[in-house]
Amino acid sequence: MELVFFVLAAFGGSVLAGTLGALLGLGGGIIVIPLLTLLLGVDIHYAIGASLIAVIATSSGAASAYLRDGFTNRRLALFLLLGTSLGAVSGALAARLVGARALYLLFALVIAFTAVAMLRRASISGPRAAATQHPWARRLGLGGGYVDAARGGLVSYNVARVPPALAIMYFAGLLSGLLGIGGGVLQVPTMDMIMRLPFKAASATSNYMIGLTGVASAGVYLARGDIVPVIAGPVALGVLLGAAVGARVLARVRGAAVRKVFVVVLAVVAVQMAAKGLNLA
Amino acid sequence: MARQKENARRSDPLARPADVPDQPATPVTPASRDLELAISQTLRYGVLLSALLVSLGLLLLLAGLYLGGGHPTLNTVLAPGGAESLVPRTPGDVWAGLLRREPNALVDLGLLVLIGTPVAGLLLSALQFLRERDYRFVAIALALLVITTASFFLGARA
Repeated sequence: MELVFFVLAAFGGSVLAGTLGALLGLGGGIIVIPLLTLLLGVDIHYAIGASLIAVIATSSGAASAYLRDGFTNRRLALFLLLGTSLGAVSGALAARLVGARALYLLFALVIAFTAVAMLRRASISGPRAAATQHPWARRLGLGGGYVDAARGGLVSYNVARVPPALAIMYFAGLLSGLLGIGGGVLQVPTMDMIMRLPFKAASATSNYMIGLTGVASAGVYLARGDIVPVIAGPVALGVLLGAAVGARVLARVRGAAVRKVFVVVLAVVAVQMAAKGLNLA
Repeated sequence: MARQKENARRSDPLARPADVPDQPATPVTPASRDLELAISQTLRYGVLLSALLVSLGLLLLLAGLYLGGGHPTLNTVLAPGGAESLVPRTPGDVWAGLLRREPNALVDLGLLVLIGTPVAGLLLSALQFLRERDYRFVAIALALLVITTASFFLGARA
């Protein structure tokens, strides 16, 4: 494909991916990678490298706003990053070893999982607060709090079951390093259901972690030559712009409707990615 | 609906209102709040600077390739070792490209600024913990710095 058309298509598609991602609370990666591989014929390793860059960009942009508003539990984020960043490096190192076929199939699974998680999210009424602080959280001071404008005061919370959560974080990082996605789809439910963080704190903290997790594997992709400026550049710009647009539109759309349509889209993409993986030599 | 939730909460022994923790949260001191705002600004301006460099670099790159009368495709710029190869592997490659005034090195520089942005935030956190003599978290932040930096060297061998 003529380079200029490719750059424009990658940019335009990424604007759309970023907008959808912001509307649905997903990172752009889960949309960007099928776009690059299925529609634009990019090698999956380059697509993953570009998506990682996009994930770092959107996470940093969103994390900036969450930090300003005081929702991020930075101590907890840094502690859990020990798990995700080690996972990310191992995932990035493993990505070339497992081969394109396995990556397509794994990606299809993750998309299917995301679709199911999105369907179920509506029916879950939020976690119950933890009554006590886990001993590790007590010793490391991981409990947090934020000012909730709606409730008019400081909401402090305990952090439960730290060790299993840290173990799951390793796998969240592994997926991020293997597939170039943020891993929020695993991180947020873990903080939500297992550690019992309030949802706002969970999503803000996960968002902060995603950027640094991405950096931990980006180095490996860069050194391997998988971060291609003419692919990663337009994708990062597009997703950033899209995320800004999405955040603005968010207030005016009915989330539930978009969500239902998107679950169908995800299901189709999962099948396509699986088929592509199976057809590879 | 609200009553249902309330009942569910009562019947659950673990349930407690979220704002009654058994141990107060690590106090948010004005100093750590200031730092949080500084990290927030770092992330914001890092992303903006990176976006600026990437857009400028892409425009210059495309202009250069097409004004030279070429018909580059994605494959020609991806060919390893090819004349138009545009894929850097180390920050040193990017620096060398910048010295040769290659526009694609500007895109790469933007991508490196982006990768470095969360790391700069991490450094700020490490300095805060050092000032507060919270050595456990100094160690955690340093470990994270080592892991993220090591990844730039690990990939080359893989």
